[in-house]
Amino acid sequence: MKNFVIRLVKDHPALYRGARKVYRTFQPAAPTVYRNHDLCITYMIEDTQKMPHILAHYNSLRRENTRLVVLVKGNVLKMHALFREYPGVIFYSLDYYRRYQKKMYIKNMILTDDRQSLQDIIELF
Amino acid sequence: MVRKILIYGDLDLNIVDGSGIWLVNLAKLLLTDKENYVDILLKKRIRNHILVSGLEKRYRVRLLYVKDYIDHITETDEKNIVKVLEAIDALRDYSCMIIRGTRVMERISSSEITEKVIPYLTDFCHEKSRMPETQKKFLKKLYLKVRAYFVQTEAMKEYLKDVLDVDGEKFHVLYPVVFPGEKAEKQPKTIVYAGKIAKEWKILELIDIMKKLKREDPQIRLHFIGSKINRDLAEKKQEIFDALNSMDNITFYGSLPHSEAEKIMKTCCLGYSFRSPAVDHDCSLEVSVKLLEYCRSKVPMVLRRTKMHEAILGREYPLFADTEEECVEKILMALRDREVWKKAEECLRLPADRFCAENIYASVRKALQNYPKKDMRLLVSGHDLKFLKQLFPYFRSAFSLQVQELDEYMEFSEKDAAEYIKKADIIWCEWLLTAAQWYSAHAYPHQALFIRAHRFEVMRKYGNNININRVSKVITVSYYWFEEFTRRFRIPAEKCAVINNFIDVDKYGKDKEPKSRFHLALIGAVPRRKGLSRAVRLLGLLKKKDERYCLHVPGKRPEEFPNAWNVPEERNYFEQVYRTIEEEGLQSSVIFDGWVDTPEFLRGIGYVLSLSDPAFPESFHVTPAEGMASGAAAVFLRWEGIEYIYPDDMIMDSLEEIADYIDRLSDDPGEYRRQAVSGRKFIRDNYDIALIWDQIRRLLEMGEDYEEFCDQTR
Repeated sequence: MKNFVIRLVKDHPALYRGARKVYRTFQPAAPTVYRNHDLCITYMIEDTQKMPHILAHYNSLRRENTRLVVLVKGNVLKMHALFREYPGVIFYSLDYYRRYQKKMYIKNMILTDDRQSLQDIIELF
Repeated sequence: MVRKILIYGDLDLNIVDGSGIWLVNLAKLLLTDKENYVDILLKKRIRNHILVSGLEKRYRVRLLYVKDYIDHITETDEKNIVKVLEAIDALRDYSCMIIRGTRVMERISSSEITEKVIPYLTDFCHEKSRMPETQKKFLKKLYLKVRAYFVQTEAMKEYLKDVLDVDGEKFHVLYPVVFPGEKAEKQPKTIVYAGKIAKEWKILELIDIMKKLKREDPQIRLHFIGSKINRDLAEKKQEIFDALNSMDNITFYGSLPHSEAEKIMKTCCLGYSFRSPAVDHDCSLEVSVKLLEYCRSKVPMVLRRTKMHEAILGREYPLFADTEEECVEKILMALRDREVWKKAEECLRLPADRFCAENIYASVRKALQNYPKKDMRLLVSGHDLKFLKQLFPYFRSAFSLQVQELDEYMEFSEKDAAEYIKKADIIWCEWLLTAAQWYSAHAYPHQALFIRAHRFEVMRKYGNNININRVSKVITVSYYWFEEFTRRFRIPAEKCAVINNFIDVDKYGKDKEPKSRFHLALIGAVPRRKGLSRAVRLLGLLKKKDERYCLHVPGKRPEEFPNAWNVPEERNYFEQVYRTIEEEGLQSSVIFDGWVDTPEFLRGIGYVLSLSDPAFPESFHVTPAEGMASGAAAVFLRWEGIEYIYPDDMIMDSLEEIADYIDRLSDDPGEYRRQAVSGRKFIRDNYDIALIWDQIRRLLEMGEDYEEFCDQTR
């Protein structure tokens, strides 16, 4: 029925809009759900000088469906500088979760470090 | 100024084939130039993301689905293409449009849009004697109308020059683009085929070849990637799939993302590119994308000898074959004799360099130079733009700026917004309130939408109502609020950015007045969470140590803010503060300064206070940072999230601790000066307007795209 009506009115913009309005009164459109199934390749650092090593390691294994996440221990005052210096990298401050007693949620996380063999990680993809 | 480029290929990007790969790679090629912003007009809605997944994360590429622009059209085709392009161009104002496909080009050529079009046509008759007169007329008319014209090869350029009898200056060669990847180790005795299953592509023959090779050497293995069956083999679909699945010397992958296919291809020793003479012949004007991919991946391939192939690989290339039997022979020869394989691989080097992205883009750039660059149009929408207005001169230096300023956030006019949205490429909503909600529901796919959230919005409903699919980034001003906004409104972390508030440090820092060290300031005392009562108590504590201390409260008095004064709890609070001032005899030491010029006012101030209610933490609290920039000391009563913004040695846990700290500094001018200098340096190093503007500009131009960041640091 729906397809038949669409076929009937699709070449007439005004009719189409009217038909859609009527249809949507009893069948509201479902919101488009935001979906992201990226794998979060996650590193932990205490010394922010190690960021270049992490980038090099991550870049050697990154795919279209991966993201770089870095958990930062301490260095609370350097967090903003890290966001500024490394665009596109997601930083989380571990101190935040400890201090404010919050739970951390990272979907599809693969926790690694810059010494782990790439092959071991790539096999997980 | 940038180049806004639209690409339309009249092909379905849900299907993985050479044309689709061509289009995706062309977009990637255009991205290598930072001035280009690329919109791909889709023929159909994307349901299979294999081909475009690499582009979907890129900020400077947008995939436009026609229904988002014209509600009753669900598929772009030659009938509606002119209408669609006109509608989108009216909103985006493109520099140029690269259009592939003769059928759509025929329709476009009679519209005004043609002057923006760079045609890329391959589907015309490739034999001069057989080309219909109507086609010749159409191609010539098109050539005369457009400013630039892409052709696939030099051979095609020469052919068209001859057939159309034109000078050919508008022709620019756009070879299929192939990007190099990482090197991979070759697996011995492996052959790869990646592409469609078509009669002319000799797939049935490939299966026969594998049967013969099995008899000769069972270790030889074919990696077969692709599942798209051409109409000409539709009847044999089941038979082909059965063979590919059942033969034990074939690994059949089906469709794979292009990057995955490329990885497999690189591990193989030989490629199969042996096509029928109907496709590969001496008059061929086109070059196969796959051939170039094999060259870039250093995988020698077996293919038919044609003039084009000889021109690319050289006459001496050892793996040309003219029959299936010769194919088998050449495969065995290459896999058994290392020298033959080496020689073939060496022949790939020259074409790999010749067809590298840089060389191809050089030709594309020449064509693009015929089209004007355009302004990137930035729309700022919101009420109370005090945190942003200082940036307007910076915005104007890089973008064409228009501002939709609201008196109150509830007074958002949808009618006005519907006009503003038509002329914007980037939308910046200041505050996560009504404007953000409306623009997230109505922004077009070609637009980038940024929403800057502060603190106030976290207790409002609007964060739950935004369409996060259309939002490029929600910007928070500190890390604490990044966590709060992502948690409370379930905003994905990858859709968030942290950009701090800024201080124009150079505006401050004039010499301090000598008596300033005994002058405290609480800049902005309304609402009550700002802690005026605590400031008065602190003053009381300091007065016991030294009578010279006094407290300045610049700005409007609480009773001048109807929004605060008419709230009973707020009014009671401030009346109580006034009573305390009287009871403690502090009338002459608490000075309500009224409106002040902040940099000038701060010359007379020694300490700027931040005593906000820890239960209602500040998002950033700019005024202590202004104080620090002016060379005053800043003192903070700890509120949640402050540790991410200000140094720990200025943050205290009680008023008594603050009083002791201030008194100690006042007694020691040397220590005071050290604190002031280090505070000013901290603000300059972290929150200076130039620094933050760089970050904002990068965000607006590149959207915190990790790929762009890697390109920059490479």
